[in-house]
Order: sequence, then structure tokens, then C-alpha cells
Amino acid sequence: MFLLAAEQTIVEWWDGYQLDLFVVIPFLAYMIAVFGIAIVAHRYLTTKHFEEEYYVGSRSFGTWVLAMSWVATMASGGSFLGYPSLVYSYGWSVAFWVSGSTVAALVGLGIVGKRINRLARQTNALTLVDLLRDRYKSKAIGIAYAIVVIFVTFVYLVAQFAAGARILKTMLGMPYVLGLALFAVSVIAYTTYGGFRAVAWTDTLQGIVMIIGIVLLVPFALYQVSISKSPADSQVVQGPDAKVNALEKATFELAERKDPTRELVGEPTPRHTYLYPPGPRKVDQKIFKEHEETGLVPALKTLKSEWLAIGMGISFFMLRSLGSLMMPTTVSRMLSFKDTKALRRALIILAPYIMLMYGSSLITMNCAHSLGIDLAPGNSDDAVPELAKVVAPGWLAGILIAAPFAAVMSTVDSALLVVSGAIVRDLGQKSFKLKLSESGMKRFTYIVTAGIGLVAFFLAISPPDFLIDLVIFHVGGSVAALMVPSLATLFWKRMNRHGMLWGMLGGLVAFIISDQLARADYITVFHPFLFGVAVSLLMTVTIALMTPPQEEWLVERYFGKE
Amino acid sequence: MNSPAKDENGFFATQARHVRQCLKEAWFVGIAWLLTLIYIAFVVYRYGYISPDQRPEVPPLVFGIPAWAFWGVVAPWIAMVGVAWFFALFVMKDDEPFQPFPLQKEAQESMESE
Repeated sequence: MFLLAAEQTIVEWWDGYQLDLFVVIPFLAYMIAVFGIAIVAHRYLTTKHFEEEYYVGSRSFGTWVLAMSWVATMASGGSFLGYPSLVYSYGWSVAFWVSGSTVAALVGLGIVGKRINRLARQTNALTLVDLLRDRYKSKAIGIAYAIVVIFVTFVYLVAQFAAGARILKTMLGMPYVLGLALFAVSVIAYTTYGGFRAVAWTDTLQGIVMIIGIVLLVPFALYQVSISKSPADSQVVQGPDAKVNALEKATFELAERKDPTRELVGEPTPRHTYLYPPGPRKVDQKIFKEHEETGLVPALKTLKSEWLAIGMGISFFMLRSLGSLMMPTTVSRMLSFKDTKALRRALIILAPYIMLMYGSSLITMNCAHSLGIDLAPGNSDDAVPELAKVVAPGWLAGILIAAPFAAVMSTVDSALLVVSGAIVRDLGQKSFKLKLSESGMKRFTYIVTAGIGLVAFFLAISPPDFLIDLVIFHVGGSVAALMVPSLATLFWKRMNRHGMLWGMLGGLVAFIISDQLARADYITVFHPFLFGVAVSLLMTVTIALMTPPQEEWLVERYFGKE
Repeated sequence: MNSPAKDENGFFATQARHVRQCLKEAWFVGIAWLLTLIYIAFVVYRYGYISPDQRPEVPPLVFGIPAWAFWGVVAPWIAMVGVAWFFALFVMKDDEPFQPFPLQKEAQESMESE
């Protein structure tokens, strides 16, 4: 029954599909390169210690692989679809929202990278849970940490699957479910087959494709704005300098944009609402759908508040900068680089990379309205592929569209391995003492990795309105539950297993509760993750101080003695 | 599996130096993070959060970017690239050669009990 329905969907799509070689050829070339890398990486799995190779690439990665795989993992579909979608929907106010990225590389690599890497080598840890288990000699912590990692990372995985499917839908005109299936099969296949080395190498390729794609969009978008005719032309310098002022022109046009949510209830749009924070009102797709179907105009009081109150802006600075600190997918990179030199050089590459990546979207998406890209509220996640189609020449559009696809793939593969590592190694092997032969372990690892991908596929069949919501849930949950106890583990001698366990669980529970309250608009001043961090900090410190310290010999191993 | 460290005293001294250096680096990043937050929050609040009736008729732009966003976000971003480079080149030190954990008596007992 299911297969028949799938076959019919494919046939219907193919019958109506108009082959665009300019889009398909670069995309296929990219996919062939990804699979080629996975095949080469798989050879390492047969010659080296399986688990060390599968989960940390034998700790052999240098500057470029570390830098690109870190950023490609951090920058997900959220960065290449969700974030541009926000800029498209809320204009320049998003500059404040993303401002935490100014310090993301410094925080993400500078604080914990060196310490985690050394300790992971000393303890032979293949996952962060291995390290924690050794530090606290506690099974409960291993299980709890693994479950938290699985929970927050799985949410992320679903969001990324949906993002991958949406790109294929826009690019190849595929039905969403078909795109989802194609995306799922390809990413599960190369991740399962190639392991961490395939993931890191493909991430490197993807990191390069991503930055080329996103930065190249800037000149094309500005050029198209400069040659378009509009009323804002009278406000900017004309003649030879006109192209230089394309962004100025787009910004002036954006200044006159009407807020669709306010328009719906007949409320006037405040002056220059897309140029200043707090920006326009939040886009609520349900209200627009209801209006479309019933023709009823919603009452003003049913609309949610403005998008970025100052407290929310500050919260997002913290979330975006601290998010990179202990996110399970990026932390796994800290276990795999070969020496501090690689870490330092990676930081030198990543600081400008991140600026170019987010800065480019800020510019291009604020030009989108001037270029006539008019997406219905709730469809703004399609803004990047749509813009690429409009501004870039045909031969380049395929490469440009491959960039967000690469971003999504590189995050999914890392998340798959993190969840797989948590289930196979942290729960199966270490907590429940699963004994398997080397070949049995290989089979089990492959099955679990593929199985996780399949579950994520089914959950992504009904995607949310804004993908960025799920991404923010993942980052917020990771920071709230893991940041404080993990930092204390690395840097505080007095930290013990009780502080770790309760700090982690307290932070997660507080985050989930405050997130639910925030969805109902009960708390809007700060983002829910801050409540999670506050509770986590309080519980970590008080419970660690109220309970006996860790055994002295253990503390000496981790902190040394003078 | 790494072999345990033979020179236990050497190991503990090296480990203590490693922790001290990592803490120094963490403090540098923490202070840079805090100063950036204070600067960005102040500039954006002061020049960005203006009530609609007080916003100028022609919005002030720098290179086509609203002035509050340029001075509040873009300028500190460029500065932070410089800070990150300074940190990578002059503050973060290469780690001393890696030494495995010593096999203390308690560690042996712990391994046996697992």
C-alpha cells in the first residue's frame, strides 16, 4: 500500500518535472563527491581500531578539517534556511538577534577545546560521556547525560531532515515527502558507511561549498537590486555610484514595507518597522491560514507581541554565543583534533568565516523584497533557494542551492553519529555492559545509526512552521542542561557527581517548563534557556557544595598538584 | 589503551600547569564575551530601540546598513575577529606533550570493581 502510494507520487512528480540541467548537474556532482569521500573514509574503518575511527576519526584531524567540520556542524539548516528566513520576515532587527555570533568561534573553541582534547586522550574517551563517566566513576551520570544528549539532538535531527526535504522541494520541484526520503537515504547511507572520518571530510567539503554559495549570493543580489527600478531610486545617489548604493536602495525600500500581521487586523505599521528593533509583529501562520480559510479577521489581542524585545535580544546574544560551547554535535570535534596548533589555526579561520556567513545572509535577505520575492507567511524558509533562482545565472544556481543543502547534510551526519554514539557506546556498551564481538559491534553500530535516521525521517513528515524553532530548542536545551555542569567538570575542583547530575537534570526540566510557558506567552522578557541556565547553575553549585567532594586521587588526576 | 604515566610527580605538575593555562585562556574569553555583550546591548538599546514616532524621516545608514546595526553589530564583529586572532596567536599556548593518567592504587581498584 505504502509502496504503491510512493510509486504514484514519484510518477506524478516525474511527469510534471522539467529537467533543469544547470541545477541538477552541480547538485549531482556534489552528491557524487560526498559519496566518493564516504567510500575512501570507509577504508580507514577496516584498517584502524573500529570504534576510535568510527566516532573520533582516530583523533587525527588538522586545522582545516577541524575548522570546517566544526562550523559546518554548527551552521545547520537553521543558519542557511532558518536564519535567512528570519531576516526575510523581520528585516534588519535580526542583526541584533544574530549578534552573539560575533564571539561564537572564540567561545566555542577558546574555552573548552584544549582541555577536553587533552582529557579525552588521557582517558581514551570517544564521547564526552566516556570522559564524564571516568571523572565521576558514576553509571547514573553516564546514563543521564546520554539520555539528555539523545533528547536534545534528536529534536535537531528532525528539524534538519525537514530542512533538507524543503530544499529538494524547491530545487527539484519534488513533493515534500519524496524530497525527505531522498535526503534521508543519502545522508544515512554515507554516515553509516563512512563513520566520523566521512562526516568530517564531507563537512570540510560542505563548509567550503557553504561559504562560497552564501557569499556569492551577495554580489548577485546587490547587482539585481541596483538595476531594478523602484521609488527608492530618488533617495540614493544615481549615476556611476548607483551599484555601490544598492544596499542603501534595498534598505530604503524595506523601510516602507508593511507588516502583514498588522495589516491583517487593520493596525497601521509603525514607521520603518523593518529597520529597527523590536521589528514587526511575530508571524503566526495559524492566524493567516485561518484568515485565508474563513475570511475572519483576528482580534488584535490574539496577536503575539513584537518580535525582538530588548530582553529577548540579549537572550539571543547569549544563546548564540554560548550555544557553541557545549552543543553535543560540536563538542565531539574537540575530541578529534590532533594538537593545539590545529585548534589555534582553526580559530583564525573561523572568526572571519562566521562573520561572512551570517553577514552575507543579512545583506541578501534584506534585498529579497526589492527583488520581488514575495513568500506567504510561513513559507519564508524557502527564501534562500528562491533568491538563488532569481538572482544567479542558471549555471550558478545549482551551486548556490547546494550550499544550504550542504549545511543541512553536514549537521545531520554529525547529529546521527552523536545519537548513535550515545546509544551504542554510552548506553549499550558502558551502561548496560553489552558484550559483542568486533564484527557484531560493527553491525550493531550500523543498524543503530541507520535506525535513528529512519525514526527521524518519520517524525519529519509533518514539519513545523519555522525550522528555526526546533533548532533554537536544541541549542537552548543543550546550553541549559549541559553548559554549567560541563564547565564545572572541566574547571572546578570541588565539582562532584551529585552537582553534575542535578545541575544537568534541573537545567533541562527548568528549560522545558519555561519553554512551554513562553509558548503561551506567559514569560516573554527573556528566552526560556536563561531560566534553565539559572536553575542549572544554582543546583550545580549548591548541591556540589552540600555533598562530599570527589575522591582526592580523582581530583589530582584531572587537576594535578603543585 | 594508553600506558599509564611512569613519572607520577612529573605528570601531576604538568597537569596543574595545563589547568592553570586553560583557566587563564577561559578568563580571557569570558571577559571578551562580557565586554562585547555590554557594548552591543548598550549601543543597540540606545540607538536601535527608538519609539516609532521618534525615528527620523530618513533613516541614518552606513554603507546601506541602519546606523544602529552598523555601529552596534557590524563594527564590534570586525573588532572581535581581531580579538580572536590575537587570542589564537598570543594568548592560547600550545599544550605540553600529552601524558596518560598515572595508574594510582585507587584507580586500579576502581577499574577492578567496574
